[in-house]
Amino acid sequence: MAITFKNVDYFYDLGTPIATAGLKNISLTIPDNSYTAIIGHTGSGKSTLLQHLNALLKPSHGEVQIDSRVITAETNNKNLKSLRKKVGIVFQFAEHQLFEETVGKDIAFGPMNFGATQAEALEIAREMLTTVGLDEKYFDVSPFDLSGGQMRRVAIAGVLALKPDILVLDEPTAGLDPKSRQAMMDLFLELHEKRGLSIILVTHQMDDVADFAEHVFILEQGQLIKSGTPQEIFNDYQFMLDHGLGLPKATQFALKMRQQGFKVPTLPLKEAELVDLITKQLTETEQ
Amino acid sequence: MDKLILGRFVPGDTWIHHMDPRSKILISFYFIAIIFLANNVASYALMIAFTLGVIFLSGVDQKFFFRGVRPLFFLILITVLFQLFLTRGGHVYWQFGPFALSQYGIISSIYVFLRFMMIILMSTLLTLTTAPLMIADGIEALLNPLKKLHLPIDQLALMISLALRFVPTLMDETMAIMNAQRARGVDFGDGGLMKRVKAMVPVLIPLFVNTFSRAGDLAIAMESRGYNGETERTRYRVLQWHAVDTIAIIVMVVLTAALIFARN
Repeated sequence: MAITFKNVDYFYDLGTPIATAGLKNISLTIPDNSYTAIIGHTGSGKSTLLQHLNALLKPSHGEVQIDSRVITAETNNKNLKSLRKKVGIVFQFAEHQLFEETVGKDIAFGPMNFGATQAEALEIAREMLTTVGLDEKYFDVSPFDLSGGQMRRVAIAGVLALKPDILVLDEPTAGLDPKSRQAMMDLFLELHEKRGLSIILVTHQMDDVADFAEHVFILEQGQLIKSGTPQEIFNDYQFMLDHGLGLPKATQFALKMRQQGFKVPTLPLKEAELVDLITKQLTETEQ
Repeated sequence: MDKLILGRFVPGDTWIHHMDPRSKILISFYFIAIIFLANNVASYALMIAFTLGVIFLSGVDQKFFFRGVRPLFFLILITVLFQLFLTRGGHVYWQFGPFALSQYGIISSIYVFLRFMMIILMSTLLTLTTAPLMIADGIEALLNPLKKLHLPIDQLALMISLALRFVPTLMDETMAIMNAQRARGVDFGDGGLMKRVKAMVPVLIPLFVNTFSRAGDLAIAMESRGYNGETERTRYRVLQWHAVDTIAIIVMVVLTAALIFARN
């Protein structure tokens, strides 16, 4: 299931004196079964873009095509529900959406909204709880008794329970400790590789972009300023630094090596690639 | 949700904007009080002219004022209908049981409507041209004499400013939670009244929980910066009485005189 934006503009408070542009002339395609990263500063339009992915917002001009559905400014607000089942969005600080008495009921909330019976929904909830790496003993616990990181997992399970084809993640690891962060990123990769979910990840972590993404879109002030594979965008490291976006740690290290006179033919993005590069340098010096 | 006018301050550079919040609050209340003195066409015309005049002076787009009226539309409508059909007197045009359409009924319903509109427009003008924190400062200054009665005015003012400060935050948070629940298949605009009320539960519970935890954090942050309700605090923004304020007071005196002259 692919998502295509064609010349999408979005204005907040359209038709009032305080109208402001959220997105300007965005055209992009997110192919089926892909892992896409969207990066940009706070206020660059990332969250606005995300809300177009399941028609929470409709473009002011232009069109968004989700699977076979075309969403324009004139699209009726009714009958968008089926889209929301296909595109699951985990918002920033998703733990703020929990409200039910028990973890199980909260995860089952989504499926029940889409017509599952209570028994079916609880069945899915149980499965999702373990998928996100929480023990089954939490099933009947109040979500408000959990730690922040656990609550985040429950919220993610609540979105996974919709069984979406596309999973959209808005800074899913913000504020988590390194171990949970790693576990969570591994979970998303597994969902992508084993269950064939498309992942759309909004992040400030360039290491995550380097490690996981297949394609990257960079937004600035509501405009798409660059797109490409991680290798392509980080090769243009001057651009990334000029726009204050940063580089993966491995790339930063390699650039310092280059400054010191080491030969760095292709810039490494991942830790493993950097290790390869250094090993090669060391063996060459020995010879 | 974003149509709520409360706390929607529109910055500007006009006489109205530059007035001291104390005089603005006093004058708004005073104006609302003297509206009830108007009792004939001439006096209502005078008050309407004044209201439109200050709205024009404020330079704020009329659209904002209409948005202020919209949420109260039904209240106005019902009150006006009551006046229209339940007031007796003068020539009766139509009658059915306890309801009657009479000459006095028509006149008094028009007056009630105008009174409502003026009260709403004036209070909207106050909140549109005064930053929420300035209103809080103004209220505090005006309530200051009550300290002699050992009323906790400082704390009250702090509560008002905190409440005003968090209105936009709560709005944003409500929108964020609604979006998250929409993404989980909630349809807020769908179904009958009961279904719609039920759909708000997944929004209200997280909102309450987050608000309580934020209030706790805020209290700790304030205490760690040495806040103490007992001590006298100095302030960063000191209210200043300008010439505009004195002029405004004079205008109100003239208006009152004209009003008393115009009414019968």
